[in-house]
Amino acid sequence: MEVQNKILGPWLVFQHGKHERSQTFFHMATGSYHVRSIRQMRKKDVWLSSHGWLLLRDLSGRLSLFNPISLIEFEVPQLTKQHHDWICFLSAPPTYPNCHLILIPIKASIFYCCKINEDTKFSEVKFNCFDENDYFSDVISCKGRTYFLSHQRRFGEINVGAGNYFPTPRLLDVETPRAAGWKRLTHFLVESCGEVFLVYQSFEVTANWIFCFIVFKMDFSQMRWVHVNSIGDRLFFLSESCSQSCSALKSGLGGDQIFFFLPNDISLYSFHMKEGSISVYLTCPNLHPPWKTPFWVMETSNEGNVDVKWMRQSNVKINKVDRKRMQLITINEKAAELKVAEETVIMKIAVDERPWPDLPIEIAMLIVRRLTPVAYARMRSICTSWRSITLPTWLPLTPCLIFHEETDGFFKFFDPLSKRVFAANIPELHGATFHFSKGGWLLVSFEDGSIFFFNPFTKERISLPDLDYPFSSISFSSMPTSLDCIVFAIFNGGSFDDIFICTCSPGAQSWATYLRGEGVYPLFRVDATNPVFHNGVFYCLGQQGNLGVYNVNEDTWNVLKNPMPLQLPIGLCFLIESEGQLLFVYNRRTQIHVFTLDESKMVWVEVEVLEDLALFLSKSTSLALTVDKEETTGSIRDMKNKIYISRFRRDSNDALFYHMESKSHHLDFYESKEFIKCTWIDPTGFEFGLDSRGNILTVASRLR
Amino acid sequence: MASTSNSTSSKIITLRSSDGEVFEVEESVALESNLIRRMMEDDCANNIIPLPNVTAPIFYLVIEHCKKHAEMKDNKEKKKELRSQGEELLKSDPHTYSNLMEAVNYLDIKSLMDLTAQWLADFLKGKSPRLIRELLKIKNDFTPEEEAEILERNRWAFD
Repeated sequence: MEVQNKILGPWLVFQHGKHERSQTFFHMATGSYHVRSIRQMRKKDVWLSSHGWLLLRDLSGRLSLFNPISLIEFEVPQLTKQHHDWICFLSAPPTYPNCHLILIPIKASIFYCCKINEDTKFSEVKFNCFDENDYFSDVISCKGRTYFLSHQRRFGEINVGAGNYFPTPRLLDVETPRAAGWKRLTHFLVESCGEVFLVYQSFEVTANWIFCFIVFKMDFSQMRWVHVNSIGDRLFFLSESCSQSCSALKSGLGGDQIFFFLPNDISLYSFHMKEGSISVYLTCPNLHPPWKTPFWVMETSNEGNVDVKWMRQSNVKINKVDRKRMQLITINEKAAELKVAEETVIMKIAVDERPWPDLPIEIAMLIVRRLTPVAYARMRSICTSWRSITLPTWLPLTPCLIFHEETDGFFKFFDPLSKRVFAANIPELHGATFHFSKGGWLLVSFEDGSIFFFNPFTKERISLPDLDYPFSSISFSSMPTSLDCIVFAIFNGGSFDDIFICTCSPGAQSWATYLRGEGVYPLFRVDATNPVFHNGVFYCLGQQGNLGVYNVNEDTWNVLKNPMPLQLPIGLCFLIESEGQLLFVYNRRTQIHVFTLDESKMVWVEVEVLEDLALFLSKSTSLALTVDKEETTGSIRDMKNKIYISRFRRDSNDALFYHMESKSHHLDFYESKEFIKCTWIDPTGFEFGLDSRGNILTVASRLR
Repeated sequence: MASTSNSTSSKIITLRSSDGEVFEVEESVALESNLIRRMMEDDCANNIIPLPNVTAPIFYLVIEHCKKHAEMKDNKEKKKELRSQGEELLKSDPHTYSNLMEAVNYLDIKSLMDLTAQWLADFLKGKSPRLIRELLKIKNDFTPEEEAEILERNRWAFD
């Protein structure tokens, strides 16, 4: 593959090796990576700033501005005071006149400012626009003006470059948008095509589980943040110090995506706004530690004449596998698409004319999906040819993953056994958050605080009183249709050792709420995984790996001294009940460990094989399936000793599972995606009639 | 006919039905068909596009429906008119109606596929199998045993 003369779009840059000796440049558009050792960047601290320029600081504290694409370096006045870390902002590329460099030390009430090529020293600027405990967080430039966001998400402007005055920050009268309260939130200010965006990234409280992205656009005419569901052709590249944006069309990547990193994780993630899914990429698989969290360098069209010769030198490596991973639309692929279209045309011409009652299946399905079940039954009793119009059926045998695809608004069921996705229109669930599922029933909540049981197969709904507490973990004991069903929610209160417990039964007027555990030892911080009902008690996992139990009949809460916490590094934890046994699954990146609770000794015992079990893990619901040796057929028997996670492949519907035998994922983890709104659900009590596209038309209880 | 020689700037596409009749159709109308669109993208645009699965009378019907469908977008009256014409055709000449459905399906005209399917579905609703057979001139080819069994199994649908 030839390197194009005019390279545009973002580069992802990793610094790695001893003393930051090497840099790996990953070109997002072509998926190629280039390993360089740039003299100017060696043994330097690097800050990312806008316009594709980096601020470098060597061991002696000397500063310079550097463009890693053009390799141009600019001298910067030296700073006499030492600061460990700061926000670095450039009002324009230093190749332009009137370029201001502003350095804002973290949590300080002064910043440093100088005009590149003119000033010989930094000016010190004091400011007092913030309340106590508030400070600068993000600074961007947009249409020649400079905007900032504070740690407490207040929006303001810095008047940079107005005459000979020092830049002064001032807060603008803009209401900070609120996001559902109790999630951990990080924010990013992004400039894109002359507009200012605010991105909220919300996490589950206890783990690096992305809960959602919320994007707002600044409406400068009304001075308010407006929520947007799509960023259209834009791509955002989030980074703590300086987030960037570019047009998808120019960069050769699919639009409407937000790229981001997680701490101490080499993977690159992208959130697809329309789909509501998160994909994960391993951009540079051969990177050796130590490495630092990578940063973005945006190559803009302003620098179109930049010399790219250095990129074409002998050291250039093109990684073909990676290229495929980035799902590029190249000219070749477009040609292939055309060819496919051509073939369809030829196939259609080969179809013969048919007499009236013998409807082609596409037409029959178009009609059938518009019929009521009664009219459908009658239509099938008109003649033998119409009798043969039968709906294809889906008879699920295992749990399936329900997820919401924002693109078409449909809810989909992914069946890991048949590797197919079935779609259903369930308007009742729009905007719902899935919390837990059992026996085909979902426990869902909405932003207005309403919470109820919903069966997506029968469309039955069982109401619960509103729950106004920010519960972190919730589940229920038995089918919501049964009399003894108890819903149990738990969360930590404001003070460190408070435990709040809320319980409710279907039909109750309100939730019973108790404050427990004040001053009770040991401490218990509720983990994000849902409690498990087992032997009349709800077991809750604590963040330290300890267990708390709530006895429903006695109405008592206890933190167990045993099993002792496992002291594992931070990862995702799952608690599952299977045939009277409690399982604890621990997942750190691509590795998974399974423990069972030995109830006689009250210790966690790691297991190497799952025997006849298949596990299904997701944030909200984790299920175990016992694969019956005698009665089952080949493909379901193959599911045992495997752990299905809530991801599947981007390009096909292949389930991503972890094989306990080989202790690895059978498919490349880095080719998988996960939908933000998803959970495992048990559809095995039903059979589904489908149309030719796999849309669910009819649901019936399965005859046993 | 479908000829639009009086139009000023719009491009004319030439199509030939299976029985050899040549049609000149405005590009905007012809492009309603995804099949024709794909064929034009394959650069047959300057030649006559052959439609080996559609006869002239049926193709004429399709064009008429396409035009009316474009007109009816914001017009409730036209919508009603087109619908009653469709129902009329279904009752008077079910065979032609089925040919129309097949042609629309073959030409891959999404809007008309939905429309013709909807009319037929609405027609089937609330009618007994016997009435449907009578109206659509469909022969009952079940054996008496089969018919009895169907009736038994679908009793819920007939009561």
